[in-house]
Amino acid sequence: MNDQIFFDLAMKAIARQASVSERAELEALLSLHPELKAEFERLQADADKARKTLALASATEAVSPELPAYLRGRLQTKVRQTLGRAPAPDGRNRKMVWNWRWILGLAAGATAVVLLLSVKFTEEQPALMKLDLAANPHASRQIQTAKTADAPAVAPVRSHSPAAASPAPTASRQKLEIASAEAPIPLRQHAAAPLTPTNVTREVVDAAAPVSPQPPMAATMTPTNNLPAGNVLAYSDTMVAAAGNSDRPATVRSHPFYNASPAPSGRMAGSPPSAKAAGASRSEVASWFAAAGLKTPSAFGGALVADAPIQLNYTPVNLQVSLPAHRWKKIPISVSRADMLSIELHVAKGNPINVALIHAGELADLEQTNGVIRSKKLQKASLPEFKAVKIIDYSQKHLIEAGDFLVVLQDTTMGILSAATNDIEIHICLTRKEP
Amino acid sequence: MSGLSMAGQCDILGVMQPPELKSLQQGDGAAWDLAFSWLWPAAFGAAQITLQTHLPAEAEDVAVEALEELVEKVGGVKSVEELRPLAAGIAHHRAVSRLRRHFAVKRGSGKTESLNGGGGEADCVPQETELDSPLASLEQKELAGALREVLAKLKSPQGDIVADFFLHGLSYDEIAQKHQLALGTVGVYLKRGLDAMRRIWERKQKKLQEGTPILR
Repeated sequence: MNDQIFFDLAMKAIARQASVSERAELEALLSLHPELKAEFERLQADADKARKTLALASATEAVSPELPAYLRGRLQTKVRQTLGRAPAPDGRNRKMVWNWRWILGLAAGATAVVLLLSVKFTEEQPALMKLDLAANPHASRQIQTAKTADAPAVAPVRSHSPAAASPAPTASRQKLEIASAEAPIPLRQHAAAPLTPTNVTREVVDAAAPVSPQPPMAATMTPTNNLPAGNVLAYSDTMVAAAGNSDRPATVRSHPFYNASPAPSGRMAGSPPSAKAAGASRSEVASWFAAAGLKTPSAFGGALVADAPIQLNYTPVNLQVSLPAHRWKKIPISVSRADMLSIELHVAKGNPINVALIHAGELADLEQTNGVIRSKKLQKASLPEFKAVKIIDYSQKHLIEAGDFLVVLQDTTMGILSAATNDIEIHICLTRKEP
Repeated sequence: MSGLSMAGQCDILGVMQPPELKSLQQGDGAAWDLAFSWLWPAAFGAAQITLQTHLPAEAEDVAVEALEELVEKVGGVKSVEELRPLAAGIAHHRAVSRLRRHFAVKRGSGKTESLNGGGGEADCVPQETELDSPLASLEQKELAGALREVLAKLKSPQGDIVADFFLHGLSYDEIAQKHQLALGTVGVYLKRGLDAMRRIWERKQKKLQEGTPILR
């Protein structure tokens, strides 16, 4: 059987073009070869599809009729609704746009983090200075500071932080109140201002901000009891040490006075009006103290000297220190003779801190040019009996030779997820060694 | 084949040159204005072929709907040459859908239809196999692709001979005379052309069944 003959007969029959004889011939073939019936039906289906396909293909190539004008508006509306008027970027450009968006987003995020960190490190530290003096029935008088620029400043507050390294403002914003036992009045002292006899000048604490400048601190001194005779007041931008002749210890606390309210600028009531903001002599301060009914600065054992350490003389010294996260501070102490040194420390609020006791002269070797002290080097330099890492409570007592030392407190946390500030209570005491 | 040879006419005319695809995808109104003129014959022709027997008045409506759908799908097109077959494919599918709805309404409206085939509405209702032909089952893009392949495969004189026979209804003798061929050669061209189209359909159908991602 010739396939082409069958195909031709089938096509003619499907197209209704077959003659009578051709139809008879096809029927004869289908009867002789029944398997061709399926092939014939297949050709019928294919012919139908071919007709439709070719019709569509033909339409695809058609050039007429023209688009009716009244339909253009409708179609253009559809274009505007779907694709918009503005040229839309192609896929490549869109990808670039998204890449830029990612880059800008990341840059904004990084900037935000940097700003956040900057704010953290520049955050002003609380500096409440509270003088909790031992009971003294003779000191129930009040000293009110006056608003004057010629307050009896003794020495400028010094700070190791970059910001504090700038000259302190001459305008004194200090207010000294010595309250009666019944109604204590806060004694306030702005740290950046020139010092007065009451905040007798000594830098007790050193803050080295490794990242950003530290703003000047303020302090409040509140004699919660009668002013004791022979107190030693040690002051710093963030901390004051007080030691009285009485058996009761004095407490000093820092306070963020600087931000709390603008302290009055002026001089202290009863203070020598001629005293200069900075560089006042010890005699001037002493005279002012005398006028205020306080012990003269001489009774402070040289504590008036700005950088002089706390002279430990068997009187307990209580300190409350505000230590910012990621910073360190030093408490200079001076031991006149070999005795038993007791240091007790408690982090009332904040992060575990490192503690070290080093010779005063070693600080320069430890401190880097940017003010940072590495914790490992600090611990290595510390007297072994007094070093501690990540502590909340600390109590050490050991024989110590005479000399100047620094109690160094260091918070190694970043203060982002941890506390930004530590409130630390320190009790330092020198006791006579056993014979 | 007159329909297939129109491709050359279109190129020669120049006025019907297709606009840039990028301009169309960017929503350029002027480019689309040109494109609508270029695409309209394809869409309208495809709709008319399907609807001319039963709903000839709706061919224009179907064609404009097809072009609206084409606007939505232009983002997935890779070359501007795909647009006319795609427009025709969309129009064909819409026309088939329109026919189905039309006859479904007629059947469901309670109208009495002659069961003996003696005229009336029943005679106008196309066979299901006619509406559910393999062409209708092909997705729009597959159909457009099939049309493009057919146009590419059936070069002259094969394409013209096939079109003359299936589209224009010319007989073997008329085709032989028209193309100055031996009578026996006409059948050979027809058989080869039909085999080529069958292979294209089978390939498209197989691709469709395999679930190849396609533009609907």
